[in-house]
Amino acid sequence: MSINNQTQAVLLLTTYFGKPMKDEPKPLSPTEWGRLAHWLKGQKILPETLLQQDPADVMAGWVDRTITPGRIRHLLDRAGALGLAAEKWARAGLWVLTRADPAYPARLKKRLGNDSPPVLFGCGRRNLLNLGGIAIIGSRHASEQDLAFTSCLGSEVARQGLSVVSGGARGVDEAAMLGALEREGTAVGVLSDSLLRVATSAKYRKALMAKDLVLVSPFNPDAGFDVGNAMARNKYIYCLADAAIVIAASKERGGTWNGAVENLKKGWVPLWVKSHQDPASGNSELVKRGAQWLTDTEPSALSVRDLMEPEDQPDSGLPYVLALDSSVSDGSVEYRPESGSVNLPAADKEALDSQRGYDLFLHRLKQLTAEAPATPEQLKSSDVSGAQLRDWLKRAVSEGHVRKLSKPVRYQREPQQDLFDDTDSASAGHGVAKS
Amino acid sequence: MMGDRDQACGLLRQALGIADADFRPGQWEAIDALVNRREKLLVVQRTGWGKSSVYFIATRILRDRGSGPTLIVSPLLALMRNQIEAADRLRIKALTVNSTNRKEWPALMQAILNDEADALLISPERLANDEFVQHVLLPVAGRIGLLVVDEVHCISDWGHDFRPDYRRLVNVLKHMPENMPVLGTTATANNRVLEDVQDQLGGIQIQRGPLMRESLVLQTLRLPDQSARLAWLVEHIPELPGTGIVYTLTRRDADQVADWLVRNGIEAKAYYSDVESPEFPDSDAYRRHLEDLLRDNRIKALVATTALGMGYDKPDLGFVVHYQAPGSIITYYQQVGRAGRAIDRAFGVLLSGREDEEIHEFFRGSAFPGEGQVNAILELLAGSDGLNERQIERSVNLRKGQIEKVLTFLSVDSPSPVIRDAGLWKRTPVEYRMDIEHIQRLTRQRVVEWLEVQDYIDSRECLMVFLARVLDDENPRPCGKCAQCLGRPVVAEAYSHASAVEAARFLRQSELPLECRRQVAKDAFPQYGFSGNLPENLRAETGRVLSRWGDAGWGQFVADDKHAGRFREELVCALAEMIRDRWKPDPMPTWVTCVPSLSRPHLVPDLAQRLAVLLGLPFVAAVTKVQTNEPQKLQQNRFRQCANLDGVFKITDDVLPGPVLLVDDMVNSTWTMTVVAALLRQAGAGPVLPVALATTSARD
Repeated sequence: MSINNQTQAVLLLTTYFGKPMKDEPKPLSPTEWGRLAHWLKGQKILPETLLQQDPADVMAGWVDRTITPGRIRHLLDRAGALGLAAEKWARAGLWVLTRADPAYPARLKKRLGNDSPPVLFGCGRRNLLNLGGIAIIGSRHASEQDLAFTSCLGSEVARQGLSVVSGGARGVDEAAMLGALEREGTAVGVLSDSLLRVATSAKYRKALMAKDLVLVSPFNPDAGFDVGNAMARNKYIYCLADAAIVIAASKERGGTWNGAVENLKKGWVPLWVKSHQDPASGNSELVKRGAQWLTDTEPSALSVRDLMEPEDQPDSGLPYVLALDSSVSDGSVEYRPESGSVNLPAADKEALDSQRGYDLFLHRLKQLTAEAPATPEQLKSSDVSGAQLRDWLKRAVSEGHVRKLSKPVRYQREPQQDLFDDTDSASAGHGVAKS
Repeated sequence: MMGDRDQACGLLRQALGIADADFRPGQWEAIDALVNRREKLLVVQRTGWGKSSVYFIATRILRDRGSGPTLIVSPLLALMRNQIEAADRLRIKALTVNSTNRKEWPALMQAILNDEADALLISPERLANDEFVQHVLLPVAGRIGLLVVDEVHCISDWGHDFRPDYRRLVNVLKHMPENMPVLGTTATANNRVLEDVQDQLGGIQIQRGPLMRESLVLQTLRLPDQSARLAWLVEHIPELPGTGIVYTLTRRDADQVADWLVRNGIEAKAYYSDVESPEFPDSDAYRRHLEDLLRDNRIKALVATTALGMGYDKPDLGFVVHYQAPGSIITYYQQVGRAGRAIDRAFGVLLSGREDEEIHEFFRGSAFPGEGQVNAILELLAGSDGLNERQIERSVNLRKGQIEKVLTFLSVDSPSPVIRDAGLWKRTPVEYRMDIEHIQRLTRQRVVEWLEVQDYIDSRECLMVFLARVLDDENPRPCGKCAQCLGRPVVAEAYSHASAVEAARFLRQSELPLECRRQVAKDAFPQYGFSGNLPENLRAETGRVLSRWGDAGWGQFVADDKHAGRFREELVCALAEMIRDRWKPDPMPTWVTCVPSLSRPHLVPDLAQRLAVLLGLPFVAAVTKVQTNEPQKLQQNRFRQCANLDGVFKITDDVLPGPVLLVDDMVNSTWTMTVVAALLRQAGAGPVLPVALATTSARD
């Protein structure tokens, strides 16, 4: 692993190198880094300049309530810790990708924008990250039956020539990935903790060395389990894949449930759930919210490519809207790949796009205002016109997502608006992800 | 803002306590590069130039600007007294974290986190210890403002002193971001080493000063026999000025030479990496004590291996004598360069003997682990999620030391096929093939370096010029004071015949204590039922070994006779003499027995019987071998050595109740003696006194 000086700068600004300690400056969140990176780009300043010159001089003209010059300096001063930590990562055969890296997964950038992780630590064959695949999702504690099904499913995905994307944890993740790897298929494991430990485990080592597997994590490879990190990680699994299958979700709780609901809400990838007898199960509830049943009980009968969106191309502006809609329209219609895109009147399509655009905007708005009020300037984005921005801001205020402050004008996030809270009626109510 | 020359000069005066002091050439330039441009800098200056002034002043300036403390990586166990004084005068609080003050680590860490420390001194060994880095260093590393590496030439493959710890350090330095200023210092590096360091670290500036040492008077002398060199030492060391160092190649020679000097009324102590004394809690503490003894001129000489040298800084060291020739000119310069730093005249005498060649050949051959050993360990780890050393020892037939060597060798590669994490060695998903070519290249280089030493010993030109040229010093001029410049010895080459005879006798009386084991390997003795610590009443007494296999005393005879099938009478007499005249065991044995062998049933019993006759004691074959086992010498580690002996011996009814002399020809791990002694005690024998002709232990 050779870490160039730009990567060093990004690591210093965004990553913990050990256990977080009292009085330690908090690394920038993905969104914060996005904000700063955006500004640096606008100023034509490369991140590594912060290492070469006095950061106070470089940052002259930067004003931000949470990203203060003092915080930047403290973060950059952690050079000694980075040197020690990076030496160990390199020794273990790990690598680091930043958003600027060509190998950084395009799907993440496309779907998450500024929320995509500033750095990805990884091990194994990195170009698997850009191949997409089928996400297989479920809990650490699954029934024997579910595990057996998952293992067959993983191996079937491999047989049909696609990658399995999963979380690398015990239970369903492991069954899915090993199912694929035993078939000499490929797999992507997105870890929320302990990358170093998992990368040196007997079960994955062979596949890593055979270049059939890539393990990545947005967190320090030495970091142990952390609920927050595990939750934050789930979205990357969906976003790296082209379709997702939930094996079993507990209703209204747990990482599987939250991740699936988040995906439905954001419309990242088509979501499928394993059939389940119990109508009160989390799986049934997910179908009510827009997921689709996997009708085939035997994975071998499944055509996994049909689970994916045919228009799933990195450049199509708003993927998955139609597919989700088609499932929503009568609650039972399965997606039919041979039919291509569903014909909808142009006006409807526009309305959907517009609604979808507002949802995306709202998501971004909430993130940008998560830690401090944001100015209209900060909320601007190249793909939204000024008029559209004003309209949407007005609507967001009227729906109670944010409050408008004056002198100067800023938008503050309203309390109790949990980003991933499903009762968030405003976005769900009209959302395409939900009927 | 601090950081201009005048203010820095003020700090220099404050540090030295000298009102009109000024920077030596290069000092301010180095400080300026570190504090004002955060550069990475390699300073090659002779010992005594004032490298510590550079990093202490830089530390003061950076601290006054709000930077975190300086991390100093140095093989020194602690700052030298004069350095501590300089640091104190600059109000620099320097903390040392080393293996001797483990209990204080949490408090020291807290002091750093509280921003109360200005400098932190650690050894390269600490930095190579993953647990230490993870739990002690990493939490405080976020504050480090300047990184200093002493003896930085060690990071080079071409350095005379390639050390795995420094290999790790290179990788840490490589990963230090641009905004971390780094100062590497060395007094010993030729261009090839510097280029190698520059290649490895990239973007590092080099500042180099002259290395010639004007006060040093050099001489070389070939004296093939150890007895001749011992005689020379005893007659000439007293006439050398002040106090000094006698360098040997092995620990065993250090012990032996020190012992010889002491017997002849010269105050000397042996010094090597694990040297211990019952009066000190551990080796580090004792070594510091020894360093203090020499520094304060309370002994005439330390007799040391290369363990003494790196960073040892005594301004008035009067002489450095080599009992055996070092492996390279760079090593020699490093060691002899310790003398005469702040005095007008000091002596560097290189003696060379016939065993030197053989020792260096051994060093070269054992510098790297074998490919078979490496593969055995990698295969074992590949089947697991991680194993500790003890588990590895059980599964591969390698000595503990060999296992450690393999793991250290592998783990300093980057990327490495193994990594230590949470107390376990783990196989990383990194392809590995041992770079045999690289090893061969380094080994060939060692041979070339050794031949260069031979050239030095036989040089007809100025010896200082010879050294300076090898070190790529720019303008070497004849010193006018070495044996070659003067055309006559500076220290007489002669020694008396009487001393030589006395030395030869000494070499033949250099027996060693024989300590048997006390704690057995877990689960290794299901039949005998030994476990954990052997009870006091089953342990052997401290015995004696007459010689080391193949040594200059009796060892060569032992080796020859073992091969021939019968030990000569001289050896039996030597044993008896040793027991009666020097050892004088208490209690005296009342009977003699021996360790039996099925493959050579007569060799040892014959020796024991003849010894018994000379001692006037009965010989009883009270130990029998009831089971064939693999040769003990093929058992490479503790568990295997123990398990290989379980159920093998039986005590006959002939056992006598009194103290017994237990005879064997060779000892290595001492497990056989330990087990037989315990069985004899169980069967009713009195205290067991083990004795053997030679030790083949690789430890020495």
